[in-house]
Amino acid sequence: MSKKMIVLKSSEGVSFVVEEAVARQSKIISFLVEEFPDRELPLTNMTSEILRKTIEYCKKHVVEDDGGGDSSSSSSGDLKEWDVKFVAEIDQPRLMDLLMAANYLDIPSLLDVTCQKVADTIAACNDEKEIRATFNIENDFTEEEVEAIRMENQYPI
Amino acid sequence: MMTKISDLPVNLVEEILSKVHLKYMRAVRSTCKDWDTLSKSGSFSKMHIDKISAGEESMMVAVLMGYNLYLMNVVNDEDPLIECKAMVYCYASWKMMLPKLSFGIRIGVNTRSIEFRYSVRPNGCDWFTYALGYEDKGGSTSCRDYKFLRLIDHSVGNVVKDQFLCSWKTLGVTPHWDINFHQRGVSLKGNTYWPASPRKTYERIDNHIICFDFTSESFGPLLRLPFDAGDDDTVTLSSVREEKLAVLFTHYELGGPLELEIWISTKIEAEKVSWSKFLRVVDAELYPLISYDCFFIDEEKKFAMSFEDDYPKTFNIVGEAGYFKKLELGERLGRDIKWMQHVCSYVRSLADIKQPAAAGERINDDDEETVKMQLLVPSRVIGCVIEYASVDFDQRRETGESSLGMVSSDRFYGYESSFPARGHGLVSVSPYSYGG
Repeated sequence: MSKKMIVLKSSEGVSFVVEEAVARQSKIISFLVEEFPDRELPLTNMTSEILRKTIEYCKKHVVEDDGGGDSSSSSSGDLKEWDVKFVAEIDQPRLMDLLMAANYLDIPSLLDVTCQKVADTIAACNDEKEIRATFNIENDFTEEEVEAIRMENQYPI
Repeated sequence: MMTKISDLPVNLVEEILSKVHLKYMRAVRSTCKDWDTLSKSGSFSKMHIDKISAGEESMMVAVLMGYNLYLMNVVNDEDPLIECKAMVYCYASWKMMLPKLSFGIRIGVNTRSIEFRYSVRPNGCDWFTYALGYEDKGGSTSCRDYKFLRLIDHSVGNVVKDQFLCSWKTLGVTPHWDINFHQRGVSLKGNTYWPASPRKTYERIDNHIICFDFTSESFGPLLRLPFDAGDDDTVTLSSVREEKLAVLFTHYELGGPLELEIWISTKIEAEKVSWSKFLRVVDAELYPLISYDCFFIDEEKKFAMSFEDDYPKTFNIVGEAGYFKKLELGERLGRDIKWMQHVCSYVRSLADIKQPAAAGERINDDDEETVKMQLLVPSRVIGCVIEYASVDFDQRRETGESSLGMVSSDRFYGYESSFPARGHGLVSVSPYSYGG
């Protein structure tokens, strides 16, 4: 029996043919394919590039359901390593887009790795100035306000 | 158009920031106003706490310092090391401080406020002690009926009690005991214990403990402690998680060394408590190794921990066979930290609290709505977080209905006062406060 395929369409109108099991990691898609079978799903707020990345992630994380009970496509240790590499290769603006896509499509594990990557990037900054520079954030504080935060935010141990 | 972090919806930024370790929070808060506001928000604190306490098996320590509440855990078995895991910001600004504050954690639910009425004022100027407890109505945490107890003026001993989120009622107890005003209760399995002495003795020596039973709404008999305290000795209660009582006895005799004993209860019944000795430390320097204000013990790892007396910026850990360790807590924690410090066992528990039916006009929520309560610190510093069980987390996040924060009880002070609303109804349970 051939695997059931569905079609996802990016904002540029590019169609991606994906195995249903892969796409169903998105809770939204999972819901949509049940409600509207045999329809192609337009994802108008997602570029082809981001959609391709998302599918790549889902393909890697799909749990193969053919015979063996616990035969996931990779061991969890390998998968973690793969995740780290996967997000490390993405530049920051695309990482934000991917994070938004994970949120929009409701893929909790992808949302988790992308958020963790951003959190790690924040933690790797030496100070708030570096955070602002890294993430292109405008400083809307006065010196006194920053000092006040410093005062009330002592890290004890 | 490149997507920036500032383009993300607030719940995603919150998700990201809650994954950043606490030690980078200062830089996070200093980045921009949005992040600062977010980091101080109740839902954020809750996320942070949930992340660290979920699946946490080791003993957690709740430490109140300055305006912040820290949750820490003991990470090293052989050589105890404390790691700070989360922090709850206090909402009180420096200026709002009164000389002597007490603390609680707000239960943040919109529109709900509890009035603390001061209808019983025998002397016009009273001492108050608060305690939070519950009546068990079926064994599971969801069947608990939470209540406040307020003791007014210990020398007179009028007792007022509050049905949780309801109006006050007076219990009118004639006390056979004395609870020293500085002694704060420890709550255990829904009841509260204080060191106490028999009434009408001239020296108030706390050789006993007394229990307020929140089910029968009455005080039990005075229960004898396993030692004889003298005039210069101190007695302090604490708990081992929410299972056992611990008592610290600091003893000094002229010419002798300072002795420190810690006992743990082996059995607690309504009319009987038995104890076993946990730790004894003889301190030749005549200077208390740990503050007798409050303490925390780890029963398994056999150590006791508290602030260094009179120098609240150091944690001292004492253990068997002369084990002694100092942990520096970092500089500039706060100017008035001495008044704002506490350490105790942290117990995470969730319980449903039923909204009372006849709750008065100030409570405009649906009567049938169930609220969840999380007791952060069911001890002298009692913390509570209420969350709506019926509203999903995202929705609450968007509407800001859930909040968690420390609040100073300055508004608690005085006549017929209620808590400051500021968009949050709140309940604060405090170790003690001054009426006036």
